[in-house]
Amino acid sequence: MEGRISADLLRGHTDTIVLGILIKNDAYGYQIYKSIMDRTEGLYQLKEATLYSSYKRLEKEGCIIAYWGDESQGGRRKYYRITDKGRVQYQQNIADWEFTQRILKRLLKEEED
Amino acid sequence: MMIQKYVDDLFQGYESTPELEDFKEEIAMNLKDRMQDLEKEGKSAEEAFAEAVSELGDITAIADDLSREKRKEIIGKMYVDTTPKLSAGYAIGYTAAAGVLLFGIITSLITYFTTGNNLFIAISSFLPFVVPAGAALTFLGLTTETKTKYPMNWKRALIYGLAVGIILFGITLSSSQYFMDNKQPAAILGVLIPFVLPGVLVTAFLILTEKKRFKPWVMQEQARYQEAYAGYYEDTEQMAKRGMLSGALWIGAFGVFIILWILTNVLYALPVFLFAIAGELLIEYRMMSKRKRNSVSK
Repeated sequence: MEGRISADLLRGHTDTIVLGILIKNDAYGYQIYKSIMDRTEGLYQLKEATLYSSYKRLEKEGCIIAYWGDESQGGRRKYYRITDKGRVQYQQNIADWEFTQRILKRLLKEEED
Repeated sequence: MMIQKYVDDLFQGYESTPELEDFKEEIAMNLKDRMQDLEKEGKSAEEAFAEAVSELGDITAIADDLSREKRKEIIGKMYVDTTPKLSAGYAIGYTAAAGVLLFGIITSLITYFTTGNNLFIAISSFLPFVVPAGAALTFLGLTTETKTKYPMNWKRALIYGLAVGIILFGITLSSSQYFMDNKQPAAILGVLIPFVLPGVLVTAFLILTEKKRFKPWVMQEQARYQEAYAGYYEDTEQMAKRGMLSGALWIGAFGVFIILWILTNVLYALPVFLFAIAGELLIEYRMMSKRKRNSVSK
């Protein structure tokens, strides 16, 4: 059977996804959006609004900071940069997720064994 | 242009804040980028616009936050009653302690009149009431959350309460001794010192090491105040600490003075005050160098 994407499950990891993208490079909103789209090959339609709330949340927590780029033409863009706290948070989230995944696997696949 | 108008319309009716304007600019720019990409894929301007906007999703929740947070802050400060309610246990505790205190006052008054105005017995009979009541009221008062302060840690408050209890014990005991028929000054002081002195020293130590329990809004208010009166007053916190330090110093010196007086005589006891004066100068010097350091680092 082919799997479908569980949007709820994914949405819960938006912050981690964003941090994961910013860990490589600073990026502005549309870059982040596009890189998520590219990576999922359009299988997952994430609303930009979800990302905006994620930025605001992460900013408030001190995991990322926002700054305006200095593009000379066509308006300026708001970039995001990950902080040290954000890096720690990212590692923690990944560890949490791996742990959860292990437990879930055990719980959900129990019947098969 | 289409995008700018769309974003403006989206946030029509929201209170404009710097954060919201920032957010609008960010959204508009991202939408523009998205449209450009879609147009590059061969879509018409209208199609691209429609798709970009649909991908945006519901943005109003964030806008709500950004434009209302400020308003909420102000409203919260002005209208919301921030006085914490007293729990039932505390209400009972306060009432009981006050009751014990009142009962003690009445009892000692009755004793006073029935024993032919004997203050010694009257004060003695007051003692078992005032000590626990004073200690309990101190403890309760310190651990009660008020409009401006958070409650104190209960262990610390307990030490305060006990110290106050011991001080009250010493004071009532020695004042009753004072009214005894064949009183002895040494006995009065002998009772006063072992109880009151350690109690006062413990209290002084606790006060000096006190952490601030003010609520954030009080701190903000204070900061604003200090800014406004920066030229008029020195750092008030420093001043309070300094006052407390010399208070402790003089109480301690006085205690040592009395002990020496009883053990030897006045002549040997008096030099204690010289040491106290030296200590006072040391405190002043330390405060001054601290102030200088602060003003340099500023």
